[in-house]
Amino acid sequence: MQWGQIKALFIICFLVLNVFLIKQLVDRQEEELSFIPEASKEEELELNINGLESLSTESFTAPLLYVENFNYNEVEPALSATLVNQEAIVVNDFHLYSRFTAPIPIDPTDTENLQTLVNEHVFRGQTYQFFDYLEGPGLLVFFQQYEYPIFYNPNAVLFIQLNDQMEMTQYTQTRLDQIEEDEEEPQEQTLIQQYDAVYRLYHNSSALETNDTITDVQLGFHNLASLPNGEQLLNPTWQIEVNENEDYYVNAVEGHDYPRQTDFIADTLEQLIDQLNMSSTRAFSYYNIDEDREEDSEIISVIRQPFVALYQKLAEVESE
Amino acid sequence: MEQLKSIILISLITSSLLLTYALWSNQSDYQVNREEEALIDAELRGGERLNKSEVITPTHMIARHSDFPSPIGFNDEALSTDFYQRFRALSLYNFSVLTFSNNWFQEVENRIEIVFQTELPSYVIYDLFDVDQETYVPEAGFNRIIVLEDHDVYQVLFKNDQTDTVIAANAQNFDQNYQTFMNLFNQEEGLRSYQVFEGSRGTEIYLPEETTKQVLLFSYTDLDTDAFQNLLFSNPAIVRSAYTIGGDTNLIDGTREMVIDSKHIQFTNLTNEQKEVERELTAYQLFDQVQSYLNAHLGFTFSEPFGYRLNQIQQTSLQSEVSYHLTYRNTPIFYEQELAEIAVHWHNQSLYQYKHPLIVLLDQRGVGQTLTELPTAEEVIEILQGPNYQGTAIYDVVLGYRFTEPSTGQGQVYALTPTWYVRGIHGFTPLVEPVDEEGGVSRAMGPN
Repeated sequence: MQWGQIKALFIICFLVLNVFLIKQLVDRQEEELSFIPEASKEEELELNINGLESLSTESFTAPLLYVENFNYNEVEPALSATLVNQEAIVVNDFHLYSRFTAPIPIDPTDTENLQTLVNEHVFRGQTYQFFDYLEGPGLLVFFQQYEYPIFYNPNAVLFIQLNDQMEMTQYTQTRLDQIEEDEEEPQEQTLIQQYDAVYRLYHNSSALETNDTITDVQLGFHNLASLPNGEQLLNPTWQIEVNENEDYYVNAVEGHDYPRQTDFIADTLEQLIDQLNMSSTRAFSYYNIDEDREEDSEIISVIRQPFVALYQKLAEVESE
Repeated sequence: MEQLKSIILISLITSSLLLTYALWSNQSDYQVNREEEALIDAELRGGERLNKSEVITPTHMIARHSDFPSPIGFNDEALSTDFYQRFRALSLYNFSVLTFSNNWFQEVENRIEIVFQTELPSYVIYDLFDVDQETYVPEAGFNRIIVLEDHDVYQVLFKNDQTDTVIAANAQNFDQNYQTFMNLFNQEEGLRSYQVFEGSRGTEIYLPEETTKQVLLFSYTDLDTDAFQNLLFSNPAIVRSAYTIGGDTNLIDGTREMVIDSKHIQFTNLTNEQKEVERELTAYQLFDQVQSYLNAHLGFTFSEPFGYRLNQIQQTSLQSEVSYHLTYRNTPIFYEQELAEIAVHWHNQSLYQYKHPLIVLLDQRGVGQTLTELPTAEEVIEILQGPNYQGTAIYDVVLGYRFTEPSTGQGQVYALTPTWYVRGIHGFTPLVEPVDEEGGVSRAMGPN
């Protein structure tokens, strides 16, 4: 056979081989494309949920925080010095109740000024962030913050009671403190992006509805389980505000959502009031008690009664 | 011309090489992905996988015949296993759902009854019997299978004692198979007679006349709790632990918690407590998913002749739970629950709560040393008809075992004591015996 004929034969063979290889490659790419459901799911999210364009595309990191209950009695005399013009009780080391000797006027709608007053008059007030104002019962709710707020944690809240004249009359507070051994090397975690958090809320939890608008996303911490000694592990959490009136919480490391805390304020207030019941299992420490009082323990009922009335108003508002 | 051919050939060879490389790289990516997907989940060392049919075993297999003075069942394990295997080999077809207003089939003299510990979803028929997947099986529950000899219309009935609904089916080679079954009930040895007690809703409850009174002692081994920590926490490295006043160990990671005591672990995923209606499962789907979950990490930890039996599939608006009881030679061990029960609360198609014993019973020790005072079947019926059970729902009576503390000096052992259990609206509880006139309980038993 001539060399020229052999070349022609090879050309035909390679031509056929190349056609086959091209077909294989095209088929494989089509197959891969058909296995990318994310694109359609993202489209679905973007079509149905508004406000996605305002989400940050930045990559965030935050630590896992190992914390324990703050012992108020251990910071005496700083506690007495801070509680100027206040009579205070600490129950079982971890629950602070304080009553202003002269009520402090505030404007609950002016959150900036409110924070200034709280910083000035409340024990370590600058470490609490405003969360909600319940106008009916007259209650200001703050969450403790560790750079970011600690959401719905009964051991990290500040409840301030207002009277009818819009004056702060008394408050109760719990707080968490980072465990010393973990302060040096907090375990920094890479967080899921804000978009991913909304994506999971929409697709995995079915929490969002068509035409909902994401109005704000904020980073914070959340915890659901405590150890018997009070230790907690706070997980970085995205707070996703929807339609300016509903908040959802998504674990910023694992991406799962948290149950809604519909009764948190009433339940926590009830527990805090319960701490003021005299019992052999409770230890009361008194600070700056007015010398005119016959007994220090008188202050317990003076503080407890308004909180009970507040709780009743809260229950009435909720039942309506 | 020849030059042009050479150029074309070289370019074709080059392009074929490039295309082959492109295909090759594409293929290798695909394989890497598959390998990542195939990463093995954490497993419990020494655990077993059990399929659905292995955990659905009957509590009673009874033959009724006009020639028998009383109902007959098996006393020999090999014989009962042989019977059940043959029974499961029945090829069933022609399913239909019916409503019976009374238990007329109890009047049929010649029949075989297979009674299960709990209500089973009808789709387990596909797992238990030789049924073509194309065959339609109606959706209903059953806890009793009745095989009727020489009945004009019905051959096999799947009956739920709690309702009037019955699934009827036909079996291939029915007469021949029935005869084979009856041959096993006509052995000279390995059988025992049963007493019959009429339970709530008129159902017949079978109590064996011949019972073992032997208290059995077993050595045991503890399971490694680290395995549960690695399995149940997504990042075990961050888990924090502390002791309770009672000596238990609590572990948390902020959203999950696990309590470990000397008998069992109890894990809770607190983010999955609330059930969502949209993700509700049927009873069969729930059972299927829980069974797969347990098998994925070799969750059935036992050493033969122990095993696990499905105890209950519970579906309410608040919780979905599947539980399994430890068995010894197919006899259930009901108490203590912490030592003898695996329970999985399965919400929104994922784990909410998991309870698992921490001991595995091993070899039998000290055979024939102790006997317990166990009422006879006749005495049990008397008790059930007495004041202790007046107005109480009784759905079944089973002779099982309970864990008891071994007496000192017997070493590292657990004791299994034969105990009568009564199934009422709250499941199986130990038979409550009347207090005797001298001021004590007539026998050493009562609710734990």
